[in-house]
Amino acid sequence: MTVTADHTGPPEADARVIEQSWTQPERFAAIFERYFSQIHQYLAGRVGGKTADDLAAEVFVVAFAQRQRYDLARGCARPWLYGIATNLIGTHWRQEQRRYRALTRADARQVTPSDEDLVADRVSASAVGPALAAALAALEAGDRDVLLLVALADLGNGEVAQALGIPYGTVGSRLNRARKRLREALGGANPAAGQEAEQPHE
Amino acid sequence: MNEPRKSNAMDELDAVRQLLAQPPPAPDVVGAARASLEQAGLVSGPGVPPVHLNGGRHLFGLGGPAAPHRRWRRWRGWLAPVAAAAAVVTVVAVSVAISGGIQGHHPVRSQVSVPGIGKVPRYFVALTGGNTLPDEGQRAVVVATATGAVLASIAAPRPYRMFTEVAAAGNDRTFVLAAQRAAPVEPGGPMLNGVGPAKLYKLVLSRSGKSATLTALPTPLVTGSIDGFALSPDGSRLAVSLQPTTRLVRPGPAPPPRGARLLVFTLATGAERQWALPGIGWIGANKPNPRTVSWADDNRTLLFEVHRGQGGPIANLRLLDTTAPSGSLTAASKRVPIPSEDISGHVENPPMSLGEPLLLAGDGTKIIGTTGVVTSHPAPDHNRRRSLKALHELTGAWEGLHVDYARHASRTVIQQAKERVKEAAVKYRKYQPTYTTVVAVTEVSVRTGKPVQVLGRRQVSGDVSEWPLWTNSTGTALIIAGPAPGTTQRNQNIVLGIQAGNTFTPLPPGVQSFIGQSPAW
Repeated sequence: MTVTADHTGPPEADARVIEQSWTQPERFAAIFERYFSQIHQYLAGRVGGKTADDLAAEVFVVAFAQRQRYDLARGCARPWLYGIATNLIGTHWRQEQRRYRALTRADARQVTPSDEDLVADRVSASAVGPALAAALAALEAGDRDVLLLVALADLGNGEVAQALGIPYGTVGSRLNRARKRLREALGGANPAAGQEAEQPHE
Repeated sequence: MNEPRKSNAMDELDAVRQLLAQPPPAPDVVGAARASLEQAGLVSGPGVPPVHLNGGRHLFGLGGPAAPHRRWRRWRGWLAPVAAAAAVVTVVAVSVAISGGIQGHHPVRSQVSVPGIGKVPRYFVALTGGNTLPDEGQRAVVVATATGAVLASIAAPRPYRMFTEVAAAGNDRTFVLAAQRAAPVEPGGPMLNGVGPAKLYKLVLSRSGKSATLTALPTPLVTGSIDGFALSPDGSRLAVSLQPTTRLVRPGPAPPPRGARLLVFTLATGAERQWALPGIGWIGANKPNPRTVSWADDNRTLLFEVHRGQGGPIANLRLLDTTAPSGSLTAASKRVPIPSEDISGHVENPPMSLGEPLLLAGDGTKIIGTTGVVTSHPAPDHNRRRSLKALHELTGAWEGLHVDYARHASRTVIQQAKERVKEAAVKYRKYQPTYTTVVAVTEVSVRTGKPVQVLGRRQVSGDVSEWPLWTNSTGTALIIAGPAPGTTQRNQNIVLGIQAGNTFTPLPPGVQSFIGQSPAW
């Protein structure tokens, strides 16, 4: 899931690049090239491709404006950028809800823009898409943020805590709660294992 | 703390991944985003060069909408230290008499025109150089507050190359400076980074104001990354908060910040006390702003800020009696009951959101900080789709301009292309929300953690912040970095000024050039 298009250097150099960008703003271009694609995909997953185009651009504009606030002790900028992205989604929750509603329809292909064709193929194969989308829509916003940062952005729990500015322990409890809700919505089935019933892990 | 997820997490998480998976963005989307970032670079503030992506393409004199700010922002880098330390070196103390540097200095009182100027210190010291003096390093300059006139310019004594920290006493004449060696930011680049242990110097202006003396202090070298640097009002003691330096030096992920210490030096003898912060965290404000270390008039009580945990989400303000024996910082100090969310910067809309740096009022019973309430006003005809379309038109117009330049089009054609860009920018701005902010300087009780008084308040356009840099003992006169009167959302102008009650008066233009240079009063 993680895409590192135009990855021009090791992520641990992010802090250094950002510090340099304080006095040499053009350095920030490296952060853009390194992370734009993955931030866009995360946003597109949540609010759809068209809105994501705009929001992903906003993430980097906001990050640039706030680059002097970046905590240089954090070597990697991913959690910071995903935190900004998640905050921006918060202001577009209606859009996100609309996307989930669209995905709850039996045939997502007919009701969603063409950039979701790929999704529709995969979802129809598992046939759990509508139930899953409805469950996602019903999650508490904070729980959904954690779940999707883990699922879509592939952040570890510690990175999620950094991104959202919440305690490490809270990440775990929110993630557990969100996953439990989704499993319940799927009838306790493991969607990756056909219709075979599965006991919850936690 | 970043545990990898369990490998058996194949189930609902994977289903979510499949459901929401999206292809990578198309090249034109990436291009449009680049353009909006470039645009942000153009409006990122006075003195900040624009961002150019893609190998230095230029944008030509175009204004643009301000970057979208959605929250009360508190930190800017203009108080940023450039410190890093590694090995220990031995240094012989030096003493440098500075004379002749204050030639042509006229008593500033004769030039007083700013209301309240008589209530603030007559001199400040700033650290200049950086980009403009790559080979000389960062110098300390003594500046007249009322005029901006540079009265003296002092280079760090060899082997040091730059001053990296400065703090002022309360007598308007005594300053302490930290000097470090320099290293290039990158191989072959300008010498900008302070490296190695810091040597402390005292700078004293003569009573007549006509000479200044720089003297090496008998304190030990300070090894580490300095976060906070504050001189007691009587100039006898220096508080330094620091952290072991590991960042930006060796490859690999930065380890969680540990080992933060608060040092207090008695300058006359060089005696040192130190308190260690247990666990993960740092002392000082949210980086890079280093200044929330502040003394009370008793020259004994010290206010400082602690951020705990990875990324510092838990923030406390604490008071330390610096006559206490060395030991654990948390055991030796007392927490001020202000909720973490009001100072941590990790919460979107905290109830009080105290802006840093925070200052301790003279009697030690109150903390002075800034607060702000931002109100967003959506554009009357805001529409996401139309807004996006306008953005695309704008980026299209830019691309057209670049093409015209690339093919060396005639001046007329380029002028027309510029006009198209301007029109598109105006159209795009129409969809952007506007903001107003009520900024206030607020006094908070150290006993209750509650606001007790608003010392000054004003409403300004835009989503803006302000920063208190100096206060008198009672908070009736402050030096603030804040939005100039008449600043607009599109053209935010942060200036140094005097706040007395609800009146904010900018200091003269000559002073404004020191806004990013760690001015210390």
